[in-house]
Formats: sequence, C-alpha cells, structure tokens
Amino acid sequence: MKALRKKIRELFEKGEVDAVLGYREDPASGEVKAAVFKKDETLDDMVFDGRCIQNLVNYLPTLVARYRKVGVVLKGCDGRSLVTQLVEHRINKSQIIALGVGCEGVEIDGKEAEKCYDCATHMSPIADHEFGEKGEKREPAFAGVEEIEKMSPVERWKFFADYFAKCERCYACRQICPSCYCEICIADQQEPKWIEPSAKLSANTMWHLIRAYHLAGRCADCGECERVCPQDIPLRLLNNALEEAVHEMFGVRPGTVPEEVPPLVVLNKDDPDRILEGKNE
Amino acid sequence: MNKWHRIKKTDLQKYVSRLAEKWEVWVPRRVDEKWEFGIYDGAQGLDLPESIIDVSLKNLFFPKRRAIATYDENSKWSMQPVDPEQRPRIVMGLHPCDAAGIEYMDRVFLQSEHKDVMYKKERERTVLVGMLCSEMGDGCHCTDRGLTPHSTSSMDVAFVSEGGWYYFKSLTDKGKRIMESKYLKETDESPTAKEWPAGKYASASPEEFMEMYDDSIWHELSDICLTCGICTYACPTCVCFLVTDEKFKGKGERVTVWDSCQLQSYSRMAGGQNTRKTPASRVRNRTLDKFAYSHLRYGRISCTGCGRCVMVCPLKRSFPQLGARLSERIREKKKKRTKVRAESKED
Repeated sequence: MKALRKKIRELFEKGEVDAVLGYREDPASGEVKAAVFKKDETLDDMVFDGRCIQNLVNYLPTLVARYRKVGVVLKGCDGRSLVTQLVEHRINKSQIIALGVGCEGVEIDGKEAEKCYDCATHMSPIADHEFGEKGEKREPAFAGVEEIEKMSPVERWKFFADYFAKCERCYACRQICPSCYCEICIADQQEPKWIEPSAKLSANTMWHLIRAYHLAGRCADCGECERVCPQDIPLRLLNNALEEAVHEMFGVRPGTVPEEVPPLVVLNKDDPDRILEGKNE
Repeated sequence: MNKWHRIKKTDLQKYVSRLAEKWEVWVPRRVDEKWEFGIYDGAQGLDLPESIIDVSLKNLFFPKRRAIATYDENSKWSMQPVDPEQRPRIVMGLHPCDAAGIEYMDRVFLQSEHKDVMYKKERERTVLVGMLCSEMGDGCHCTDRGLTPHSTSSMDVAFVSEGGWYYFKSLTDKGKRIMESKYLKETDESPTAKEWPAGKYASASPEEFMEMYDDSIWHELSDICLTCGICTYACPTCVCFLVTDEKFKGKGERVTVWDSCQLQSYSRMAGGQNTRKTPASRVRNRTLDKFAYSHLRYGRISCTGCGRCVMVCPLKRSFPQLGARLSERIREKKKKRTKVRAESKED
C-alpha cells in the first residue's frame, strides 16, 4: 500500500496522470467506496484490502472524457475487465495508467466472495506498475455451474424461474457491467419491443437470458452484476456457463490475455462449427 | 376530539381476524427476510414491526404493473377499461413516513390537473391504520423532512404500542367504522407523548435548491452513482410510470409500468434525442425532484425520510447525505456572495 501511494504521488508530480481512480475509506462510516483522487488531494485515506470489491473499470469511460490521463487501481478481475474494454476499443490504452495490485480475494459481508474461488488471475493481466504478490494462475472451477448442470431441465427452470420472478428490472446489473454499454439497450427499445418493460416472469427471463448471451465471450467474470442485484439473483451462473462453453469451443478466457480479441467477433477457419458438423445434439 | 381506545397486545390478532371476515386486511409480513405488505391470513400469525417495512406500500395503490385496459386485435373497437377492485380493505401497520408518501401521491394523482381514476378507487376502498413509531431506526430521518415518528397525516386510524397495550385512535369517519369492537375499550389514559431528536442533516429551502441547477457539483455527486432504478422503485413518493401495450396471440393489455428517471431510456424521445444523457443530469433530476420541484408543483417536498433509498442502493450511497452536501454547498455559495457584496459596498 505504501509503495502504491508513493507511486501515485510520483505519477502526479511527474504529471503522468491527472486523476487516479481508487478506493477510499470513509472516515466517518468506515465504508470503502470508489473515489477519484486528484493531484493535491491527500492519499492517506486511500486503501486496498479485502473490502475493495467494486470493479472500477466501469467508471473509466466517463473519466477519460474528463481527464487527459487516468490512473486506475486494478485487482486481477478488474484487470480482465479492463482488457475486455481495450480490445473493444471503448477506452484507449494511451489514456490509462494501470496500477495492478496483487489481490488475495475480496469479501462480501465479511465472507470471501464466491467469484474469488473461480479467479483465474490474482494480478491484473495488464499493468504498467505492479504492486504486491502476483499469486498463482489457476483454472476456474465454476462449482455453481456444475451443480446446475446436474439438474434436470425442469428443476433447472424452476431454480431460475424462482429468481427471475423476483427481478424488479432496476437494471443495476446492466449499469454496473463494464461490457454493457449499448447506446440503446435492447430492453429500452420500443419499436420493435423485444422485451416488455414490466417486471414479470416472461419478460424478466427474456432480459436475463439476452443479457447473458450478449456477454458470451466478453464477460470477464468480475461478478459485479450478482453483487449489486437487490434481489440476489445468481447472475454469475448464467455468465459462467457461457464462459465455459466459449472456453471449450475457442480456448479463450475473456480478458486473461491482453489484446486477445473476443472469439465471437472474429472468424477463423479453425473455429469449431458444431451446427455444420452435425454435432449440435 | 376522539378518545383513545386500547387493546391488549395478546388480543390484537383476534381483533384483526374478526376484521378479516369482512375486509381484505393487509399487514406486514416477513418474506425472505424482508418485511413487506401481504394479505392477512390467520395461519401466519401477526407481527407488527416497530422498525421500517422494507418494501414500501406504494405498490398497493400504484402497482408496479397495472392493467388499465384490455383489447383483442382480431375484433374492432374491442378496447375495454379494466374494472378496478372494489372490495373494501384495511392496510394496517404502516408507519408515518409511508402515510406521508400516500399524502404526496394524493397530491399527484388526485389533486393535480390530471386525476388518476384507478388510484382514486384504490384510495377510496382503503382504510389506513397507521402505526406510530416507538423509536427511530438507523436510517430513519423523518424529523429532517418536516415529520415526526408520531405524524398522522392521511391515516384514518393511528395506533401506538405502549407496555402491554396498543392505543388506538380514529382520525376520520372512515376510521370509526373499524373501531367498533369488543376488544377495543375506551380509556381516559393516553400514550406518553415523546420528544424526538432534531434532524441530523442540514437542508436548504426548495428555492435555494433550485439555484443549484447549473452548478458543477452534480458531476461530483453522480461520480459513483450507477444510475440504476432501484432507489426510485423503493421510494414511497416516486410515481413515474410509462404506458405500454403487452400482447400475446392477439389478446393484449394496456398497462402502466413503473418507470425511473435514473434510467437512460426515461428521457429518450421520438427521433432519438435524449435530454438527460449524462448520469449527472439524471441524478440532478431526482435530487431536485425530491427537494425542490415537488415543492413547487405540489406544495410539499417529496422526501419523507424513510431511508429506503439508502437500504436498497447497490453501492450503499446515502441520498440524505447527498442532500446535506448540497445544502452545505449552497451555504458556502451564499457566504461568498454576501462577502463579495460587502466588499463592493466598501469600495
């Protein structure tokens, strides 16, 4: 943490960054929240520990519009997120200074977050400066997905329908997702109206399935959609299942390799084509 | 002046069961660790929380999804209005902040130039039996918003817990109808009046808030807001809706659905223009609507101090603190202005 603060001060002094996006501990409430640090502000209340769960990458597009150069504190999962944004040309790397911090897992309500069990990268795959331990690389297990896949289709539908019925359509999942940035979201389109705006099972199911499909091969599994959901819908299960499918077919884990283009936007002659090969069943 | 009646706490369920024979009785119930209103059935027992009910009762009067008409695409002129529910009902156990929310909704839906027929019917069929709070919860700040935990606005009957008793008092003719019961006994005693702590957040006047419209602070205030819609859904006074048609195999319904000014799509117009494209403009809209626009249009600020927006916020942002910060800024600006004026006088 000391090294991080020192580096940031140095960057400010050299004029290499105009603002740094990091985590601040509120002295009154003790809560850790995302914060933008500017040149002459104190860095004393900047923190990095298990409470820093929020993915900051989502704020970058607005910040790079306002500042010339932005530093950002990145956990491993946030680093993956940043990669997905860079390869989709949403942000230009020349405007970003990536400060990768070795992450030992983050907490939700004092318990290690589920996403951390499946974490493939403890250090951001893209970092201009690295701090702390790099940690070991490992393959995600996705125990949750395995559980679901053991269920019969009827059980599976019941499992998800119970959750989807509770969705309030507040779109917090969409708003916090760095990869959900359509100019006009499919849920907001009126003509044709793909998804009805009312919060009922059929429309909610449509919304969550479409969102999951749109994230196939793009989702970096930062787990934020699941964390912010006011109704605790296990959204990561959907995304992870598709991530597994993409990995199986294309050998790609989104965000883990810098400059790797999402598999579903490029056509390779070696791409598997299960439909043409008749292996769809 | 109506007299206080009291009922033994152990008798309350018998009283409510008796009421439920004739009325549709809505009481707070615990569903998935959250309190929300549901129809009373004897089997579940009766438990009235002193603390805030997690889900506001806005949904009972202005439902999340409400069919207003039905139609059949295969036959001409088939659109029919939906008949509103007529069965009389009692809503019991709401708190003063919720009742204040209903008072505000009355102003919007009944006393403005556009009357909402469906809302009117829902209000007419309902007797509001409000529970005055014995204490203030952590997130409660009604005393900041011109209310107290013992405010009774728009309640038909108010009751308060004290010792082994509930003290009831009818406030309207509608309320009297449910007070005739062998369990409720008239009493000369009255529950002790309480002193409430003053508000904890600084708050400027609506006119002062209006002056902040063009301030640059909105970017700062919206920096970490997701602009999802959950605070507006939880708010007892957020009453925006959209009208849309939902059909299946030619049979359709025209419905009103809750909308939220925090979502991009809210301000998108025909032709694709969007007047509130940035998060800052959307956060400004909601903040000023709570503290200023509402006062200018309906004569009352629309925050009732229930604190639900803080409870549901995915990022645990504090809306009252946001208001306080804004008020702080207003004060600073004013100070500067008077200083400049004083200096120019000296010159």
